[in-house]
Amino acid sequence: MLKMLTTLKRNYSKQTRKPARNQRATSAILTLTLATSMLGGWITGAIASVDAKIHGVPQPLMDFKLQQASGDPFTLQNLKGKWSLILLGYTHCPDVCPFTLQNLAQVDEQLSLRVSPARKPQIVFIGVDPDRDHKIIGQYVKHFGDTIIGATGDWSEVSKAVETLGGFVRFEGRDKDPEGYRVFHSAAIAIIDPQSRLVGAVNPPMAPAETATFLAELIAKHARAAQSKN
Amino acid sequence: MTTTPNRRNIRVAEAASTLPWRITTLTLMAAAILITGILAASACQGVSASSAWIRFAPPGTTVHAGYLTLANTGPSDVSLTGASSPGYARVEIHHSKVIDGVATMEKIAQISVPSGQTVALKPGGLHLMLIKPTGAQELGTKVPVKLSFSDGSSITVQAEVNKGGKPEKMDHHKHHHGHMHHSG
Repeated sequence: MLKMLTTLKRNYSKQTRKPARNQRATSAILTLTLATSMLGGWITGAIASVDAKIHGVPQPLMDFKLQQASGDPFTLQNLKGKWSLILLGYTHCPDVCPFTLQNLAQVDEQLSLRVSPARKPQIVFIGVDPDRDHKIIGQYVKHFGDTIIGATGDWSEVSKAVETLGGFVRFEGRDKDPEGYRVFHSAAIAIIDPQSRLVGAVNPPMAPAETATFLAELIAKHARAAQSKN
Repeated sequence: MTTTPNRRNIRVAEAASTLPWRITTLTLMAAAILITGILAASACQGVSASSAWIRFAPPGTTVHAGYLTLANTGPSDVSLTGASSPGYARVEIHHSKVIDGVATMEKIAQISVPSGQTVALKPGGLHLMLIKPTGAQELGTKVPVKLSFSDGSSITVQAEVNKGGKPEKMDHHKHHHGHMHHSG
């Protein structure tokens, strides 16, 4: 079982990084593009500007144990029963992370107009630099929106979360500059379905309206697929 | 018939009497044009900066990002080689990039602004990294940022602390020009 999970993990790590090599992922993108192009010119045009990679089959995630700023745990359980958009970042990131969080907050606002509250994704920021993130992650995410969840934890658990989300983190210059070291991290926003499976990822820079349209379509498509199974 | 030559004579006499003044006026005008020309040339030689702003960052953060637009209307290429601000311990020039899906940020030595071109420092790309603020950030306040260029000149812009995402405003532009001064 563990071996199977590891293989699975490797598979979707590869998919996220090199999706072009995965036929299932590629065909899913094509299907989605075809499906959306039938909806009309303006939607097609809008969605064409969204850089997303959707897996052919949603990938189950492995568990991890993080903490929210409130002290409450943040585990796989928190990803069940609702859609989630997860961003990996760090609080000492002055440019890309604030820019992406600001865009995500706008995507969230736009999604309120396009999907029902039950289907609206929760926005999660995972601080991948726990040493500097744990003290300020709460006020950091609140700055961009009251509903954004900030979570971090022990490095061993953070790295589990990063791995299972198909992400990447590397610290640079940590020995030389313990305060100002840099963190290279995956820029993509992971899309998680209500069964806590990795559906795909959206790459920044994200145009908020177009990304919201794309996600609303994706959520509706999954809901239709789930209904037809029943 | 006699009146016409008289008038002509008067005119000639008038002209003769004002001739030295005219020469002086012409000289002054020429000098003025020349001075204006020199001033204009010095203002246009090199780079101007506009629409400077600093992202209103979450409380507790010690690195902030600054953005602006550089326009080089001069005849030669100029580079932004450094920046400083009384509001921060240190200012560096940085470049964010997403390479193979990984967000990276590197410190760079300079930003080249070729003659006749405009370079925008904007979110997710080129930016000023403002390190260790000397005080708490306040939305709407203006922070002086001195920009140093490869031709030895420098400009001080007033960068507004704001949430970003706003389009460039014309009054912004004017404001920054008003506060701008060249030296060196």
